[in-house]
Amino acid sequence: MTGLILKDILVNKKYLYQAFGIIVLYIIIFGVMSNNFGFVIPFIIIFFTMFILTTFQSDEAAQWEMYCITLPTARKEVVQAKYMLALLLTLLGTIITILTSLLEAVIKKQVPNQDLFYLVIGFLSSSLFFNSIQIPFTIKLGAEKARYAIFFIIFIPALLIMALYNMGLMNHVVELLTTLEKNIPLLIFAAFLTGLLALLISFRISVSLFQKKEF
Amino acid sequence: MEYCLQVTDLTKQYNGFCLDHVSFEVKQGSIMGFIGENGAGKSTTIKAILNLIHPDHGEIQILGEDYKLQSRAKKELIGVVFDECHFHDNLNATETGLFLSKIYTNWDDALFKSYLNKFKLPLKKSIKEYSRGMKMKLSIAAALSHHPKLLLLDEATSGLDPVIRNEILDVFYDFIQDEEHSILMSSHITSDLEHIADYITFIHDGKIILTDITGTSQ
Repeated sequence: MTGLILKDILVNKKYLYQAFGIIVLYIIIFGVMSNNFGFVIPFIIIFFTMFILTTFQSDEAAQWEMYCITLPTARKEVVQAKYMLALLLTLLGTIITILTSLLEAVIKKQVPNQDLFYLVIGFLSSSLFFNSIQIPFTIKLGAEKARYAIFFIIFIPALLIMALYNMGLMNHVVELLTTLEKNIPLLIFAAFLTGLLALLISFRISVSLFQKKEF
Repeated sequence: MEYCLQVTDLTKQYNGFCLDHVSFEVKQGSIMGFIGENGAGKSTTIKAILNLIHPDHGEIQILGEDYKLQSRAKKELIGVVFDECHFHDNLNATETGLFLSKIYTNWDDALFKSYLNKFKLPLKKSIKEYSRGMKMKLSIAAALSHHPKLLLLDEATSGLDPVIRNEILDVFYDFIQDEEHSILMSSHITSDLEHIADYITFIHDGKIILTDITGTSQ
């Protein structure tokens, strides 16, 4: 599995360097100079969560999977490597998010409070959920079609919810959420644990899909 | 072990094509040429052997093990070369060797570097800048550098000029000097198989037509 993870990092190292450069630039321009860290942190979250899709695209371009199956790696191990890399990227993104938030606190001369902790757990949860959907879809459909499928599954409902909210049709939901706000810590932890569970279920589905795949 | 590869009654149905009860064996220490026209079923057979497709019926024994239950140790002993290089274009030879060394426990980096040197492959040049012949040589270097006992070659010399083809065939010939080594080589280039194969299995339209000794190996 180490070899497969190393392969993904080596193949995409140029992309990683460029992305790090852009993150640093964004932190400087939008964070430090414009005092708008609220723009930078979602970018960090999205980049690290979507990077695994880039590794699948690179593999497809080289028709790598066909060759990979002939190596002394079980099909399950190939899937494990992708999930492990996704988790490592999530961890890296979390660390960068924490550092960026601490930088924001220093610039604004604030003491970091529990909001930072909730932000981190929230990032982890959303990343876990997103990976639990994008990886099996990518294995089944390929990277290109998976992008469209993920767009429909995640963003269309999100847009619908926004539209309903703007039309005032989400008032009951908003009242419920306002009530639950008093239990933010519980909500955040519940989201994190659900994200972990979703990732475990997703892993089993991905292994099953990849076992059946023909080349 | 008398046979390193035994294929029995291999059957796979597709729309418009059927691999129809394919059976053949590769003796240890020999080169089997697997020949047929384009679309005859050579690649389909090799993909079935490599567990890249799921046959409808049949048995395959590789190095004494059922191909579906192959241990990691036995997979280490199989080297594979396809007609295209499947290493990512933005890697170079050094990086390719680096990650393969983490996958194969038998990986011999000194041997890999010696093949790169022999084939005159630059260590730091991206694979996307390689010619087709260079990419094939890199694939072969990778396949040989973990001390395999069985090489499976799927049209490994197609699309190459005669000079490079002969160079590659000489490498395979050197490989087979060890009597524990065997090769299954699929090709539609009869001259390559005449040059090197001990036996020929001829496949046509998904069916094995004949298996025979070539009588022309060096």
